[in-house]
Parts: sequence; structure tokens; C-alpha cells
Amino acid sequence: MYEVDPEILQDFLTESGELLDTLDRDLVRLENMPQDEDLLNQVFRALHTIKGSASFMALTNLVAIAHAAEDALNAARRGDIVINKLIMDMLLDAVDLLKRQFDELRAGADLTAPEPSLVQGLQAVGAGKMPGEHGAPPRAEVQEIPEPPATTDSTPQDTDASDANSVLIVNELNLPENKADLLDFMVVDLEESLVELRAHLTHLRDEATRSDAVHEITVLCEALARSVEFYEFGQMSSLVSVLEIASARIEDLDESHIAQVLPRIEGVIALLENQTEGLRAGEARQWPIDTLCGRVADIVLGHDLDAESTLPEGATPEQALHCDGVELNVLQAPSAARAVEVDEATPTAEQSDAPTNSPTNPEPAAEVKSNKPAAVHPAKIEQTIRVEISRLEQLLNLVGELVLQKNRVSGLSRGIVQTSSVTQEMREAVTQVSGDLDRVTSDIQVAVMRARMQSLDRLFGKYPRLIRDLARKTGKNITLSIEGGDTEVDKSVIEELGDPLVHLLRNSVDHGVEPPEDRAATGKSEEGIIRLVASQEGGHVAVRVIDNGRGLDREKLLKKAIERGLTTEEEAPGLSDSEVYQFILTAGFSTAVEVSDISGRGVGMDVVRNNIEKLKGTIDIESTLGEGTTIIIKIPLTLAIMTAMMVGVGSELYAVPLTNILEIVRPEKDQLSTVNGRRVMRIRDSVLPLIDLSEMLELPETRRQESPFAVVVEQGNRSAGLMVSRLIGQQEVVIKPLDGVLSRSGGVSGATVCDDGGVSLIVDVSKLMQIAQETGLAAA
Amino acid sequence: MTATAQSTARSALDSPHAGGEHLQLVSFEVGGEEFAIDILAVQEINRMMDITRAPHSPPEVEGVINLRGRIIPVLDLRRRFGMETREFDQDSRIVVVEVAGRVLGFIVDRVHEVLRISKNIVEPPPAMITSVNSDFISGVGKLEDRLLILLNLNKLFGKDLIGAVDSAVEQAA
Repeated sequence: MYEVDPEILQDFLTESGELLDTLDRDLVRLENMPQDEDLLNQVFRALHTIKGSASFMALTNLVAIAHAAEDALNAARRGDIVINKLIMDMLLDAVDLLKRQFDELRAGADLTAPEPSLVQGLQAVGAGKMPGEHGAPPRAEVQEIPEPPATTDSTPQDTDASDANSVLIVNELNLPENKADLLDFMVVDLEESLVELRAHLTHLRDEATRSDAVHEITVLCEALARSVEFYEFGQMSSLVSVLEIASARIEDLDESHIAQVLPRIEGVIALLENQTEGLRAGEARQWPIDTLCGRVADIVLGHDLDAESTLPEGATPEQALHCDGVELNVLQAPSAARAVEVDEATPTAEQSDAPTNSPTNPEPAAEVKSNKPAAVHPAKIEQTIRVEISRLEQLLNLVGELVLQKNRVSGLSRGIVQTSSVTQEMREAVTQVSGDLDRVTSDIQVAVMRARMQSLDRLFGKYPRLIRDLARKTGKNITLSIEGGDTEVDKSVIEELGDPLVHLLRNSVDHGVEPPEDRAATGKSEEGIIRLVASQEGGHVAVRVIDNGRGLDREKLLKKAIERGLTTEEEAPGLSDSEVYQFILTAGFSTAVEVSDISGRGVGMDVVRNNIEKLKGTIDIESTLGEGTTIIIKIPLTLAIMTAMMVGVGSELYAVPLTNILEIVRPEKDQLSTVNGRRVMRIRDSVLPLIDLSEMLELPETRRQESPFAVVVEQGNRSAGLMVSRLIGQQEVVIKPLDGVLSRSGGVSGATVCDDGGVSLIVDVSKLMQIAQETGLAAA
Repeated sequence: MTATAQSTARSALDSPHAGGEHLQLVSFEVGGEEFAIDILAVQEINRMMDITRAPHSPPEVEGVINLRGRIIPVLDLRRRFGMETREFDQDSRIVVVEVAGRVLGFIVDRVHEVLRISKNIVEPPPAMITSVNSDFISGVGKLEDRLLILLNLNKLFGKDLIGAVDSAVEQAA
């Protein structure tokens, strides 16, 4: 693999990576709605963009598979084929391979070459053969596909030149209002730059003046790049960068390569001129430039082109463009020369149709495919910038500091107000300023938090594919419906929520929804429906996984739970339904008779519980036998801030996450007792184990105090009372990670900064309960 | 144009540090002995502040502090050296350093000065010069009137300590 500028590669990975993420979801939607042209176009464009960017970096194997998939989709766009399950499988395989290649790119590894059979299969589809009937022998040239990019790029006559992909697409230029006013002015600017560019082009041809010309062109390109950004029209930016790279490298090339690249550079300028013309008319002209870009990239990398893509000596720019599949017939080319060229380059009759049309048409109208703006690549790009997470984190840190200083100011202002020597006006002013500061600070805090928020769609987008694959594997008929995907949560939450949701969905497919025949037998519709519903509820986000499957069987669960010693025959009747359902979240608890490769090993559900607990979230389960199960996950919107109860343990201060707290009581003497050496308290009808925090947190003797309060906490289905000395109150706390050495110490999960700048540790309730159980609270 | 700028930059880089004749150090006192560390490792030196005790942490760790929004561990150098501990006082300071990519603070009895010494006067650590484990010492600087013990921060707070701490934590858990 040759060296790619790491920054360009990074951009490619992020941008194309996002496209890749949406492909899964869109393809599955497409499978259900094969007639949806918008969707088809959308999928096609995503692949096309990925291919285009990849070809510029000469990522051969990636281009090969993307190209093949694109071919197949194109056949569907032409209406030659209808996407069926077999074709979809191939397309999804292609996307999987692309994902793998992206991972390899990230890891700096060599890219996996696509399976020739997959490429051939897709190519056959691309040629209009429905799979099954492609018993026809694979065409000879197909074998060459996984070869260097020249091959993939040299097949435009085979595919590109004849299909919609190779024609000019004219969109309405869609500029925001504030920019539209400036359009005329900006176009003049662009035209002037292009005239200047033309002038330097002559110098570029002459070896003596080349070096100066390169410098001038580079400078011009920088200006151009900024100028075309204005139009929010990606293709012009691509062309400018092609120009920039090509001219920058030209001095390193030998004469034969220069002869190949010069006409193409001129061609690019001609395209830019054509597009500028378009801009004046309010059009965004989208030319098929992938082949051109790919070849320029090849040439400047010093690769030799194959015979097909090699230009004859002294080729004109229009010949170059033609050779690369761009029919810029608005150029005033001598039509005779053109006609000859067309005959040479289009060996088969079928494909000569499109190009031979062109010289007779002075206007591109005949082969221009005009589209409504909405249907085609949206020229209007979302106004966003990418920011490194670390910067946001830094910002968040600074805001935390600001909050601290604000608290100090509030304290000072309270002091000032109480000082007798201060005038009334002064008091009012100080109170006012301090109040304003207070408000602004919390606004900033919220704003910074929001900057880290991402919509759950990012996560949910992967699931239609998952459900589709699982449903096919299990032979069930299942539809996934997603609601509330626009709910936003903190980035870190998104990252942690992925695995548990996958487990839950797998579980619903495997255990929840019955096979179609069983469903029919019980009078249900054969189609199982799994709904994934997200909504914001106060400071929490709730995600529900709802299936209309067989539901949970209380008696069966209880039997299993008693077998496993999770409860006893005596206790069983007293347990509420939801307590019984919680058993399925226990490690190793699986009622599935057979272990399938989807689920049933009982590992999944306790992973779910652990992950959700890590997120300071809760899981509730509701179910009706025979009708379905609903699993409700509630997690805080952000991991960076939480509400905590500040408590005094001896003379020290700790924060207990409020999500864990059920209630706080002050037990009477007669409620306290000892069972098996453990301290417990009786509360209402149940017995609650007590944990002495002074003991658990290893308080030195000198700091210990009497601990009369019991903070009743719950984690999963267990609860306990934490004995503390003082109750300070409820507070929003900013969670800070504990650095290295301390992060693994038991009992605390993080730290927070108090109003006075000191540090309080955040109690890790689940860890405490675990330690308490293991050590049997020996200190009782 | 760019070429000139580059060559200027290069020559600027070449000149000063290359020789490395001198060491710039921060010296401080712990248990009546004078130690020094490279000034480049030091991020800041703070007066004593409230240190929050961290439960289940190794004995050297005094606790954590809030360093402008960042929570960092603070170690007591006396304990790390196996010296007798004492109450912190007016002169006690927290020296914040970055070691192996981690920021941490350590408490010293008092900070003396920033000084520049010639590399020539630094000798390899002789055995038994001090009560401190000789692994922690990178050399001894002989000044006119006193000895300066140069500490190896990587040994002092690096992998060994972290490893020991980690295993201690694991055992405790």
C-alpha cells in the first residue's frame, strides 16, 4: 500500500465510514421496498461516493468491491433487475467486506481482496442477469476485477459509459438565502480564477516554465478551494483538489506520464469552467468524474495506465475527458475528430448509443438527466464541523472549573450582602451579578453537554440488519420498528448502550418471538413485531424493547430460580412478577431448552445487566404470557453529570448516586439486629442487610463517628442499607475519573469536585454490595 | 520563501540544547536530605491543600486532590522512601509531575530552589549513601557544600509502583 496522507485518510474514514453505517439500514429498508427509487438512489450514491474517494487514494481492493456493488445497484436503477433476497445477500456481503476493509485501513493493515465469486455475482447482476439464471459462464474480463485499479477503472465502456452513472446530472443549485445574494459576485470571482488558471496552463506545458507554473497553480488552487466551498457543491471541491494534486506532482513525473496527465488537467479545468457556467444558470452540474479522478491519481502515483486508458500522443482535453467517460460536448470540439475518436473507443454497438448521440446535439439536453433537487444528492450540506472529542472534554472540564469559581463568587456575594458597611445599592448589584453569573454558567454547562449529545439513530441504524439476519437464520418472520431514534444522549452513553441492546434484540428474536407456525396455531399473526422505542423522560432516556412474542412464564422462571438456589419455595409466592422476571438477568440463567448460536447460553442477559449498571441505569421487565415482553432500560442522559446524595461518613464526605437510592431511614434500636453475624435491619416486612460505610471505606479510627442513618440503596434486584453519619443533601455533581493508581480500588467509582474546590469520592454501590456479600460483612 | 524559513528554523533547533552540558533541576528536602529532579518533569509546585483520602489505596497514596478540574493522586514521598511520617506543615509542598504519561503529585518537606548544575559533577549513585532505595536514584551531584541526590522519577513512580499498586488492589478485591 502506498502512503496516503494520514489526514486525508482520516477524513475518508470518518466521512465514508458514516456512509457505510447508513448503508446497512438503507439496504434492509430497500429489501422491503425494492420499488423505492429515492432509497435506491440514496444507496447507490453512498456506494458511489465511497468508491470515488477510495479510487483517489488507489485503494484497489476497496474500489473493486464497491464498484461491483454499484454495478448491481445500477442495474436495479435501470430497471433491468429487481433486488431480491439473493441479490441483497450479495450486497450485504459487499458492505460487510467494505466494513472489514475500513477496519483494516484503520489498523494500517493490507486490505482484504474481495472474493472473485462475489464480485462476479454482482457483476452478473450488474449486467442484468438475475441470480439463478447466471448459470451462464462468467465473462472473461470479470476475472481481472481484483487486479489494480486501472482494471476496475478501465471498464467504463462496460458499465459506466452506458448507464445513468456516466451522464451529467443537473441539480438545481440549492444555496441558503444569505448566500444566494452573493452568487453573482462569487461566480465572477471564480471565472477570474479560471481565466488565470488557463494562462498558467500554457506554462505548465513548457518544461522551462513548469516549475513556476506549478507554484502559481498551487496558490490559485488554494484560493479556488476556498472559493468553491461557498457553493456547497462537493464535486467542484473534488476537481480542485485533483487539479492541485496533479499539478503539484507533475514535476516528479516522467515525460510519458506528463503526456497522460496534462490533457486531463486541462480537462478538469474545462469541467470547472463548465460547472461555473452552470452555477451562473443556477445549476449544480454533477459530472461522472470518478474514472477521471482515479486515473489522475494513478498517473501522479507513477502507475502505468493500460492501453484502453492511455491517451494518444497530443491528445486534446476533450479526448482525455471522453476517454475517462466524461462527454463534455459543450466543448467546441471539431466534430470530425470526435466522431473518429468515438468509433475507436466504443468497441460494441450496444454502448455506442450514448456517445454517438452527443456530437449531434449542441446542447447536453439529450443525455442530461434532470432531477428534482430533493431526489438527488442534496446540494445543501448540513452546517456542521467535526470537533475532536478531547476538545469537548477539555471544554467540559473548564466548565466544571467555571462552576466552581461561580460557587465561590456566590459565597462571597452572600458574605458581602451580610456586611453592614455595604450600601443598599451595592448589595443589590452584587446579588444581581451573582445571580446572572449563576444562570449563564448553568446555560454554558448545558450547552457543552449538548455538544456531546448524539442521536440514538446512530446506534439504531445497525439493528434492522441484525434483525433481518437473525430472522432468516431462525426462520422467523419478524419486523423491527424503530421509534424515537432522534432522542439524543451523551456520546459515551451511546458507546456503552450498543452491546446490551444487541443482546436484548437477539433475545427477543430467539426466545421472544415464536416460529410462524406456532404463532398461527395460537391465533396470532405470523409476523412477529419487535419495537425499539426510545424516549426522553426527565434526565433519563428510556429505551424499550417490545416484542409480541410468547411472553415470560412466571411459573417456569420460578422453578428454574429455585433449582438454581436464587430463591426458595417459601419465598416464591411472595415475589412480585417484576422480581421474578429479574431472574432472567442473572448470570447463567437461561430457560431455553436448547442452546442456539444466537442466544440461550445465559451469558447475554447478565452482560446486559452489568453494562446498564455501569451506565447507572436500571432495567425493568414487563410481560404478559402469550402476548409479549417489554424490557425497559432507563439510563441517565449523560455520564458526565449525575444527581447524587452527599453524605457524611465519619468526618469525610461521599456522594451516593441518587439512581441507586430507594429511601433514607433512621432506624430505631429495635429494628436493628444481627443475623448470622451480619447486621441487618427490619424495614416494614423485609430484612435489609446493613453495610457500615466507615468500615467498607477503611476510615481511620480518628475520623469515625456514630452512623445513625441508613441510605437504602438498590442495585439490580438486591438492596442494602448504607450506614452514614450525616446527610448533606442532593446535588448535581460532575463526575471525574480517578486517575490510574486509584481507578481500580474498590468501593469508589469516581470523584467529584465540591463547591469549596475539595474532592469528594463517589460511592460505587454495586461494587460495595459485591464486596459486602463476599466478605460476609465480617465486621458486623 | 518557505525554504529559507525552514533552514532558519533548523539552525535555531540545532544550536542550544544539543550540547546538554547542564542540568536544570528543582531541589527539595525530605527527611533531612536534599533531592532534585529535572525541572522539565515538574508541572507545578503547590502549597498543601485538602487531600481527600482514597479508600483501598496503597499506603504511599495520601489521597487525591483537585488540580483545576483534574483529579490526581498525591503520594507521600516519606512513605515512598520508607521514612518516618510526620504532620505536614507550613513548608510542606505538593510537587506535581508528569511521569510516564501520568500526572501525579508528591509531598515533600520543603522546596529549596531551582538550580543549574554541570553534568560533569554528577556521579553514578554510590551504594549506601542514603537511606533511600538506590533504585530510585539516578545520580549524585556534588555541590561545593552539599550533596544533591538526583531522583529517577520513572523508577520512583513508574511501572513498579503502578504494578505493585495494581496487584495490591487485586488482592484486596
